[in-house]
Amino acid sequence: MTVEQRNTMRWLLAPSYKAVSRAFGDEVPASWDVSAAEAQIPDFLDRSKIHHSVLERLG
Amino acid sequence: MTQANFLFCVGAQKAGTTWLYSYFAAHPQVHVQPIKEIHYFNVLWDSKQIGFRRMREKHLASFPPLPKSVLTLTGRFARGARSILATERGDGGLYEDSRRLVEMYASEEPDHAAYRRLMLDGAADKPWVADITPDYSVLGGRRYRQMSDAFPGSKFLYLMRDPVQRMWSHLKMRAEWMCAHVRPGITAGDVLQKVLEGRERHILDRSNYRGTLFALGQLPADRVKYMFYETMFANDAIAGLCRFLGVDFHPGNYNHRVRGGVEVS
Repeated sequence: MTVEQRNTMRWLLAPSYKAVSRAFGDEVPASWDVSAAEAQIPDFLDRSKIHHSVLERLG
Repeated sequence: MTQANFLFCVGAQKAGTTWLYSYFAAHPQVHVQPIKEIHYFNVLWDSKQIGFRRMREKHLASFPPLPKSVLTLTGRFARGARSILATERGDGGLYEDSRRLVEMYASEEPDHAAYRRLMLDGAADKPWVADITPDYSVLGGRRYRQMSDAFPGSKFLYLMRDPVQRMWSHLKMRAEWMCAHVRPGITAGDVLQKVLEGRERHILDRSNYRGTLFALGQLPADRVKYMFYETMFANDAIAGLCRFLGVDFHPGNYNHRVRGGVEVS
């Protein structure tokens, strides 16, 4: 897993991190990368090449 | 027939469900079928997932025809006879297991009778039967309520894993499948690119903890348990699961994580 791949997934999965953090708070294992809940689209990704359904899903 | 309660483990995929299946298979008070993922409700309610039924039918068709004398055999020895005579093929299971699943998918009996019959087969007096099908994670709240209503006393279990780690494991598994069935050389990174392009949508769907948590939240809280992959391989976590089901605690084999572990560089 490259840094770019990891950052892409952090952004794609931010809603899941956020939902679990809200629901379980301190119960979330310490090894989870909970800061990903605030991840934004990485600069290296070309937004115009991402399918609209993926962007819409992430709001 | 036993009056066992149903436990529905609705995922997440790549979050410890295969280990859990092995744990339950060894537990004296929980019954599982020889094939882990039954795929009953997703095939029943989601036309896009008819592929699981087709795959099972195809697998069944791959076996050489059995003698009519065996096919028409009935009674308590029928299943054993057919299983012994059949040849195991890949990871698709024995002839008899596939035959029973295909029969269940084709059944139009009301009240999930065929599913109930299959799940309870062999359960004897065990108080729980477990259906561990991660694809149930995308069914939604209305379907979960239907399952809950149809199976009074049933409970739901959802295993979660750090989303990035889960997705990467999923991408690697998908890449392995594509290398075997589409063309060699496909990597997890290639599959991630497909996800960004709006393809392989099932991977994002199964990464959607937010949606599954919302759906499960529509059930009574005491009927749902949540666990984390990162902490579930320990006595206290498994003891909590056993308390949830009201069964005796038996320690698991925590050194044997099936298909677990993800290398992160």
